[in-house]
Amino acid sequence: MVMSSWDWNGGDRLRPVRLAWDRLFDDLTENYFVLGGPLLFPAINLWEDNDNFIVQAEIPGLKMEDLEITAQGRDLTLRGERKDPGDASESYQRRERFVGPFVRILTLPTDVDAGKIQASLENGILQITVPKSAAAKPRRIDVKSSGQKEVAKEA
Amino acid sequence: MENPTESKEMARRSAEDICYPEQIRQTVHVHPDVDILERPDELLLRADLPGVGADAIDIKLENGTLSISGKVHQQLPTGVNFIVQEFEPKDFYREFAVGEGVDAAKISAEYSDGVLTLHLPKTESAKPRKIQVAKK
Repeated sequence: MVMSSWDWNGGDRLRPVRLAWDRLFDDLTENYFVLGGPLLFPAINLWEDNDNFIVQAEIPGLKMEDLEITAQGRDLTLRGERKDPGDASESYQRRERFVGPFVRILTLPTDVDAGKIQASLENGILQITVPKSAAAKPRRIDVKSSGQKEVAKEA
Repeated sequence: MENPTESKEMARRSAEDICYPEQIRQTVHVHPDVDILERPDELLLRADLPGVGADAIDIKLENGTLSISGKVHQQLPTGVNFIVQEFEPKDFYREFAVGEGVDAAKISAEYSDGVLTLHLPKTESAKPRKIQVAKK
């Protein structure tokens, strides 16, 4: 039996594995070589309601012009760089804050309306709203119950 | 370049770490990441406090302990389907021991784009001084 890792309706068991793959690739290609940086920057939350996917990312110190958000197919890519604000010759007693380029790629479970993506940034929290494509939104199909035989039709 | 064995090990570990995306920070407070750098006339502290407004930050210097706390008002939405969850908005707190050399009355702070910058000026006696050596 072949289990499709793209079965989002019932196949939540595979989700962690797929996420791990997505992120692993992400990390090894881009973030891994940033010395002292976390493997994952920025931290992301992604959720969905009926109409949209909402992405939140913690990106303190960045402005909109430091970011590039692109959507291709179901992949939403967040790219940017947190630059060193100081002089490299300064003496740091402690250095924990991530510095360097980053990429996060999120593969969304359904098709999206890429032309209507909106993003806002406030106090270092980025919020991206990605509308689902009309075909991907859940639809309620009325089931009529009457004596006569009917054929369900979609609008 | 990176040692390949180490890379593999890192890859394996990170795969283990991220196989459970539902796990979030479990502490009461979040420790913000900070940079502290020393300049001739001051210590400069930068802290990542995303999601905290300037008016929700509380900075105290008491008995040689500098504490920074930030309240986060936003909460995770309920009744939605989470696909990835890597952080939870939580209040920030961190404290540091500060030596005698800081002029407490002159500490200043600013907050922009989620980053707090704290200037801790040194007292006159703590500033580096160049001593002229007289020729005889």
